[in-house]
Amino acid sequence: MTLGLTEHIDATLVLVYAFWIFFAILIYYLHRESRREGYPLETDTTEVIEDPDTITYMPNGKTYLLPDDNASVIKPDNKREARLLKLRAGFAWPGAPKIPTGNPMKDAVGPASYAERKNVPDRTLAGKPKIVPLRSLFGVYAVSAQDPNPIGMKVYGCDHAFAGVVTDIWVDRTESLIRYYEVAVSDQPKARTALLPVNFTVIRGIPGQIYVHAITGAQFTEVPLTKNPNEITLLEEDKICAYYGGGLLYAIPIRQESVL
Amino acid sequence: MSEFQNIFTRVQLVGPVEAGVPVPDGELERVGTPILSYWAGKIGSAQIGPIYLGGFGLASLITFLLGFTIIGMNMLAQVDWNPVLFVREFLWLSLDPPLAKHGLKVLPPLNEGGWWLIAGFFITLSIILWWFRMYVRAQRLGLGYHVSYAFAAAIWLYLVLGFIRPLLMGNWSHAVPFGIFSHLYWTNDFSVDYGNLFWNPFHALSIAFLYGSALLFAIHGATILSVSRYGGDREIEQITDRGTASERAALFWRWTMGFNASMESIHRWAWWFAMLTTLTGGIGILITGTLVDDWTAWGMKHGIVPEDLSWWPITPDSTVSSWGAGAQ
Repeated sequence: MTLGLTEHIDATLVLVYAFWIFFAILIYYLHRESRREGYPLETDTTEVIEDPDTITYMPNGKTYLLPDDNASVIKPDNKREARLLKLRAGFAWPGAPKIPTGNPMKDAVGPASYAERKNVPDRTLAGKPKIVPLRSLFGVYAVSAQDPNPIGMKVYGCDHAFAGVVTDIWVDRTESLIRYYEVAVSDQPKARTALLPVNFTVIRGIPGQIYVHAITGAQFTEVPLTKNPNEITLLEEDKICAYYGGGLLYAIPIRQESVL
Repeated sequence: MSEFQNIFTRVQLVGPVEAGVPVPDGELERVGTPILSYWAGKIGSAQIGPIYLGGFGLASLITFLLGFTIIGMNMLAQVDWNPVLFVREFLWLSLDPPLAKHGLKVLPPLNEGGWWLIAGFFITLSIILWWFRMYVRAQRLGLGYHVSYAFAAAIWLYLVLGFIRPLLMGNWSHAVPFGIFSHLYWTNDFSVDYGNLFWNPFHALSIAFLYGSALLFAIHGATILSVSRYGGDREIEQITDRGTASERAALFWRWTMGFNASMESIHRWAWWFAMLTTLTGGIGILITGTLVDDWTAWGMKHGIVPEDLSWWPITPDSTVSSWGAGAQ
């Protein structure tokens, strides 16, 4: 059957080209949507910031309603963090790594960097803090009988040095998931606690001990603390996780050397 | 470097079950007592249930069971009600669409396709009722309608295959049979009858989107699992209050791929690619036999298929080595 405009152009061909035009518009739209976060870009050699008004790819502002008190945010917000980072330019070419000028894990730069999230706890639908230690839930949660109980386990760093003992579990009560272990860093000169993100741990052996590959045993004494001992804010979560993340490059000097 | 990579949940908790967000007043409640499944908890939430069924859900379940039973009874009749033969022959049993001589007749004799029409009616009704269920659930819970739109895209392909295209062709016999091997044979014959579906551009697009959406969902899942140690699995909060997890995920793709999606836009990418799999697939089926009778001829006309296959062998000849005639 032919349903054609000319000898060459038939209805199927028109459909195919109509689809290409639709798809081009769709890709343009999707790329714009991807730029609600992290833009405008900054040239890393000159630190010149692109003007968001002149970039075709920047989407128009969109209002997101937030759960608390009819609050809302508009994205993109073009906000820039004002922190002075303790870094210096490594080399003159674009994409060159920056070099920390102090202790990168304490200065929170490079892989130890965090974002300036809200300094309030993540909340449940009912408005209560979402991630809390078991001690403040009065025994309504327990570790599954089929799994090892981390409470009481000894924690070791990547140098196999003893860091402390797990004393409590911080629970995400909306997901019924463990988010952090609370470690009493007792054998160290400055006795204190440290929160340990569960995804930075591995349980080894029976009855079990916890191995943390990210940092050394001694570095547990400098894990950022929470202001309230029974609550954790989004900013504090970011800082704590980033500290361990930084250890993957900075915990021991050999990690910054080439693999071969 | 054996470190926990968050592929499964190492230590699970047992605690109070979650009732879910409140159901609006005047609606049926969720049904069933929730259970905790240890093995489900290994990769996700251990809690199963409660489930909201509702009026649409119940009607959908009943109409599905009617259609399902009609298909099963027809298959049983084909093996003379012998349960052993039914199990043995199951993969080959089939409830076929009406014979070609009945055209678009609404109810041909039952054993010449009438049962197929009745079963198809109930199954289609069931699917559409389930669509309404999804739409109304989204509305009542204050969600967007994205899930129901995506389901509608899949229903589009289903309706093209079993309803719209047979209508346009003027004969129910063009529809797909109910049966395991019979519907696979139908698919094969469909391609052979219309000059190789390989040259159908919308068939090609559908495959590209199928693989594309699978790839997008896989890299998204991998990205989120890999930044879950920074709280990246709580994606919704990262959309409006970006954390280091979102920044690291974005940087990873910018450094490896050259650009990146955001915590929100990756879902738009994957959702569109998944939608387009069945949308383009439906178009490809719809225009086969209605607009185009022979896809190889169409491909030749538009320069996709070379007229002299010897200068561009599309299908490699498996008897000849690609290194040349003399190679072993």
